[in-house]
Amino acid sequence: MVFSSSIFLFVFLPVLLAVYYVTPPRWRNLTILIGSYIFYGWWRLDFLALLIATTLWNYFLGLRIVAAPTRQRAKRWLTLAIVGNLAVLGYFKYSNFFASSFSDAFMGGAPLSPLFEGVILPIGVSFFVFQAISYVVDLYRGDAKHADNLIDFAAFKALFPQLVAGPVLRYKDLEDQFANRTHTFEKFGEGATRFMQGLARKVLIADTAAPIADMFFAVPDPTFVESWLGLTAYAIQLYFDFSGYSSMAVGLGLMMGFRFTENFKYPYISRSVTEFWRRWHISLSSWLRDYLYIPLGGNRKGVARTYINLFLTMLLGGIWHGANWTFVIWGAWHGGLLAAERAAGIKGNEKRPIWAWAGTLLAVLIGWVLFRAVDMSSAIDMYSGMLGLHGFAIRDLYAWQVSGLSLLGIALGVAVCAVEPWFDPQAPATSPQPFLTRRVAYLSMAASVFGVLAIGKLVAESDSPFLYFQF
Amino acid sequence: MQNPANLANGVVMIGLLVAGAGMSAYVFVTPELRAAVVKPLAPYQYVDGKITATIESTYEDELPLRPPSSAALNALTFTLFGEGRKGVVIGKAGWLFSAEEYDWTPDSAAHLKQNLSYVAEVAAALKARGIALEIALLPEKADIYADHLTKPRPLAHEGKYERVRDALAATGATVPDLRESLEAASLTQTVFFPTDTHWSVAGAASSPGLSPLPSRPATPCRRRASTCKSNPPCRTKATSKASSNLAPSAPCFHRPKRPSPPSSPTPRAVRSMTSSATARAPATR
Repeated sequence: MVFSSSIFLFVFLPVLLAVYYVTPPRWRNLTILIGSYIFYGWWRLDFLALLIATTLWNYFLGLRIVAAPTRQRAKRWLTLAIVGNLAVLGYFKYSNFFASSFSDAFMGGAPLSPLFEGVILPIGVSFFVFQAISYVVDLYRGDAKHADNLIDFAAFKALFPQLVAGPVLRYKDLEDQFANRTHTFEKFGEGATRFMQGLARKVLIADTAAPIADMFFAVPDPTFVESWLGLTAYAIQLYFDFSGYSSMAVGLGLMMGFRFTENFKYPYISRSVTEFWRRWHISLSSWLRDYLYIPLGGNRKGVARTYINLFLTMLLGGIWHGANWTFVIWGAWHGGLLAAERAAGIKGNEKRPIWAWAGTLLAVLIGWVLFRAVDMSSAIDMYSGMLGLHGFAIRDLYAWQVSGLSLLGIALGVAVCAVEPWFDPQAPATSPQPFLTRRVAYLSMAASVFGVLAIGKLVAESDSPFLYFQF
Repeated sequence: MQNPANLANGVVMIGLLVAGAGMSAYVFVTPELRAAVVKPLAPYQYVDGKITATIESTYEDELPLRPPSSAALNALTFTLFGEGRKGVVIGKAGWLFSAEEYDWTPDSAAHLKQNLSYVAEVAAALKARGIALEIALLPEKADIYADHLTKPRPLAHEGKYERVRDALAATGATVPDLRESLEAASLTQTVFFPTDTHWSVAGAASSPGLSPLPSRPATPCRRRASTCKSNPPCRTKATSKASSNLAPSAPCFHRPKRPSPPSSPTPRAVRSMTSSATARAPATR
């Protein structure tokens, strides 16, 4: 089930919230658990079993880690827990890729084994596996307490707003909220605002820009205009799709009394790639920092190791996104850029000139080609088009398919990217506070209007999948 | 500090949820959805999401909010951009064209070649049985009414009718040039329906080499052309799927079987087709 579907909006959500609010407070986590299992099982019941199995695996191994008499014993339990989690990820996410690569390299393309062919990727597996790893690692490090009971932990693991596409939440950040959280109408209303904003971003902007991105990433030998138009459309689609989903997740959490961490903070205004990764998919980049970069040694083992660690972290981050060489190279591209910026002394929080913004945006866009292309050959085709090697103008075969509505979606997306930092409710008040508050209030009021428009478009078109479900 | 807009949005959200739940309650008692829920499936289909996918798609189809939402979205895009929904290209003065009349992909030439080879096989098989094949190759509406187009068609369509006709004629079939006659007739009559890809009665009647349509009035059937299964069967000239997108209740016409000329020495097989249909992916043989 996806948030931007009629059955979620008009059946699941009203029923769940009604049951949630009439349930006595001490049973509300159980209500969330049952609701989240229905939410996930609606897609496939068999993979719900996988979610439950990983929950039990991490809960009971977490108990062993906490109860271990020595650090060494605890480390063994931790290793077992991580290996189990990575085995799930490895099998369901990467076995097709490795089987086909192995078969191509050594068996002339013959099938390796039915066990490794056509494995279905469970929705959200990358997210709930990373979430589980952070739990057991935090227990080992002493950064988190073991969950008081299995219901709370299972509800955290399955919490439906973040289950299938993040943000990658950590138990230590939410354990207090599972034990005790407040419910006020102001909080519910704030959640409604965030949900509507997210729905509008997804349906009115991302889905509207999508046809142009889809078309120009599929055409052979795209021209200069076709490739840049397709890439711009994709950059808008991806950002508004994923940030829209994250906003809806935050909003749904607020409606049930939770306050999640933010996942995006105006990434396209970044003036360095380092800054970009502090603004894009924040929960993933901080996860990679805390559970990969720092364990690899971070910056504690010399300059050269720091660069290598940055590179490896982003390389693995790229592979996390998908089993495809395009993601491997995308990760390497960003890892290389982060290492180069570190070498240049760029920290990501300094004031940099306007050309730095243009350069950063160009670097990010170059990376998005790899992120979107179905294979390396398509990516190279797109890069050739961006350099004008296939001609300049848009061809008549495709010109008639470029709709004004899609162009409006792209233009709206660009405009929102430019002005949204101005409405940041968390930004330091550089202008008089009442004025800032008014701006935020205007934006909040507009949320309902755009949210209702988005619901109308959604009902009319019905098909609105999220891009990040594939990860 | 309380943000009054959040409170207002909270109220709107509750209103939407309550209204949505009420609408869903109505949808869930419709016979269509009840049928989807109780439809017997293989045991694994309850596990692999088949049942829920069926319920969800039926639910969406039955939502009373859907027709007005679609109409509003169509009206908005038409008003703002003069554009129709996917599959429709808006022409001048209320004329609609199918996107298939514009579509030309890098694979189209190969599809055309493959479809022509199927026709050649059929022509050869009929010839072996002593049956002469006559093909009524319809030009596309966008070809005849190019002056009604608001967006230029890809150049790849230029001369397509002649190329396809020549290729069909090379199979030994008789392929009268309907384009010329339709172009001439279009100066005085409407030879294609303005909001549909089908040719009109006047268009068919103006075509040489084909028997005129019967003089009795056509019987309109208020359903999709592709679902016409009456007896005698409805004959639709174009096989385009897009025709049903253009006008869901497009009329189709009962047409009696053409009697074989009594003096004809050989039976004739007649098949009408459009030049655009030949350029699309081949159907299952």
